[in-house]
Amino acid sequence: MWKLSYYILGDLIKNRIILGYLLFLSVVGWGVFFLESQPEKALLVLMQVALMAVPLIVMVFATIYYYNSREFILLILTQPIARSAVIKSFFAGLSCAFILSFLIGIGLPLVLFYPSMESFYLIISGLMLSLVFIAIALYVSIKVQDKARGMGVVLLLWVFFAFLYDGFLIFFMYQFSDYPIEEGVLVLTLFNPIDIARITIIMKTEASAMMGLSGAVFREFFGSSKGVLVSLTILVIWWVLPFVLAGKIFSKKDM
Amino acid sequence: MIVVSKKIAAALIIVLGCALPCAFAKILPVGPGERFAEITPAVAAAHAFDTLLVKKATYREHTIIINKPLWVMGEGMPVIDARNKEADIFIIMSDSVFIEGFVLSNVGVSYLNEYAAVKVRKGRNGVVRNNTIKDCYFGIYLEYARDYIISNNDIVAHTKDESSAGNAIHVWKANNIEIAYNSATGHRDGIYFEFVDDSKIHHNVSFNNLRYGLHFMFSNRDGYFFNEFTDNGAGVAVMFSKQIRMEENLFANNWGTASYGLLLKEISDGEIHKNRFIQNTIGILAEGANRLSIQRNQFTQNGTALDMKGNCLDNKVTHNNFLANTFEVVTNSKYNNNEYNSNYWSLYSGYDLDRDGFGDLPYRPVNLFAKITNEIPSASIMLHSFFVNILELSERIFPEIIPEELVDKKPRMRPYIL
Repeated sequence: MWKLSYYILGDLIKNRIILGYLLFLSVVGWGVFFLESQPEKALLVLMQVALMAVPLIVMVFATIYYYNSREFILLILTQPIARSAVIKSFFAGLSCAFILSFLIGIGLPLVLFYPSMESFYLIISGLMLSLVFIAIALYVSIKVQDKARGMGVVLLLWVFFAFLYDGFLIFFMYQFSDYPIEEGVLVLTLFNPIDIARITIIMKTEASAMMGLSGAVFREFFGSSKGVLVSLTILVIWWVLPFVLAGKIFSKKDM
Repeated sequence: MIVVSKKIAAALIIVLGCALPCAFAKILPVGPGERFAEITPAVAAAHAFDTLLVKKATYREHTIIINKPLWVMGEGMPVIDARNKEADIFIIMSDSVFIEGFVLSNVGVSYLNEYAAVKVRKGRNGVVRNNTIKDCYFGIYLEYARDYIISNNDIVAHTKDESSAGNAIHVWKANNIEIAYNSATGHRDGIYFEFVDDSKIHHNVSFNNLRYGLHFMFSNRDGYFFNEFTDNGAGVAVMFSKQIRMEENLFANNWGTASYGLLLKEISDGEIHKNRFIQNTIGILAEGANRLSIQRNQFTQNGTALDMKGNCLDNKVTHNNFLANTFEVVTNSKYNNNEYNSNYWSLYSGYDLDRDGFGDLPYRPVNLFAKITNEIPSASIMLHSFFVNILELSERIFPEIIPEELVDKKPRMRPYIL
């Protein structure tokens, strides 16, 4: 399995899109600190990148990569290698490539120019989101045979997690604003990995705002070390679950 | 400092001048092995304008009534321990009394009377300085005082419960008081003013108090300079006063649902200049504040930098720095009756083609999301969500809900160096 992941990683590193991704993250990550004299503002920009751009690029690329490597997978499967090992090495290779790019492009400038708890949480969240969306992309592309449909589903999922879900949440809050809905909202946010990551970060960066009114409820949960642990655990579930499901389908699938 | 020494000099001249007719003022030593073992009998034996020199020891006394002009001075910080009795330690009922150089401790909590380490009941030209006050119900308590100096006192308590806590420095009905270089912590309010006019509070540090770092009401023409108010339960509250000047103070880390860097309520004609508001839930909350000039302040990383309620009129918010605040200005009105001009807003993203240092596009500091969270507080969790950002952007381009006239026409491109 390790050998296979190594080959996949080698292939990915030579891939022009991955290089482009690395370049994009580096330009944003390093550039924002050179252009912006206030590190807090720079952090805000990087947060938007980590929460929006990273999931989109990761998911689209992972899907394309899977569909394009179908012949390669067929070839591999003719060899005496367990199917689970193939999917695992696929995931591992993709994860390594994206994690490395993220660490170099965004992690490094954050650590160098703004070493703080906020940066730490941003890096952790960015890495977690990469894993989550690689797993989701793999699940979709294994499940959906047709390339175009798979792409469509992936894009829809991104739109759902990035905008629609938040829109629904706000709508829900408006409708039920007369009730004590803080706990309900808190539970609902856990169903969106981007929200979990975002809230974990803003609990650090905008701590003073979150203390106001019902912010206290959220702060008690997400701000405490227990809450951070819970949200990280849920993010882990968010990537383990689609990955396990993908593996199940993959091992039984008629290629 | 110059002001302090001037006042002390003036007080000295008064003391000396009055002392002349009674021949020579004597020094009465107090302490173990001296003529007076305790302070109370020494006070009784002293003549006006004598000096009590209290030697280093622990005195278990309370209710020391000083009813004549005296200089009560501790040598080597003698301790007066009230042993949690419900009683004052010093009660001053005369003009020209100096209390200096003591450690005053353990005045008991009472729910009937406001017992204090030093209580001044009517008097003028007095000084209370260089004392350490430990675990006392009230620290220094002044009523009907004039021309007083309270300086260099270190007032510490460890109360947990607001109902059984007193104020560190409590001034009620007084005039021309100077409170300088004190430190107040662990009390209900650090400094409490009610009906105190023409006074100065400067270089004090007030932190970790249960309620307000500074709390004052019905006090006019007072000045607050170079003080630090940090980590207090509800920050600083300034109410029902006129012509207040607050300059170069620091308001920091006041966190909580009802916590403000500075709460302004029914304040008019004041000046709030060159202060720093750092990491407060709300930097300034202004309610019924009129004709204030809020200039050259620094607002950094507050939840809301400035919450200007609709009943505030003719305030001038100019030349301030707003850096990395979650919300810059919040208001509950659709109209704007205040002037915002030439501020630096870190959320401003305009350009400056004519290179005059000010952005070419006007800036609306109130954002839509602040309004949303005002209506449904739990929405605060959606902060920086992409969906919210898009809503905000469109609202900024076509203002529909946010007050359209609340606009800074000359937003500065770079922060001021303050």
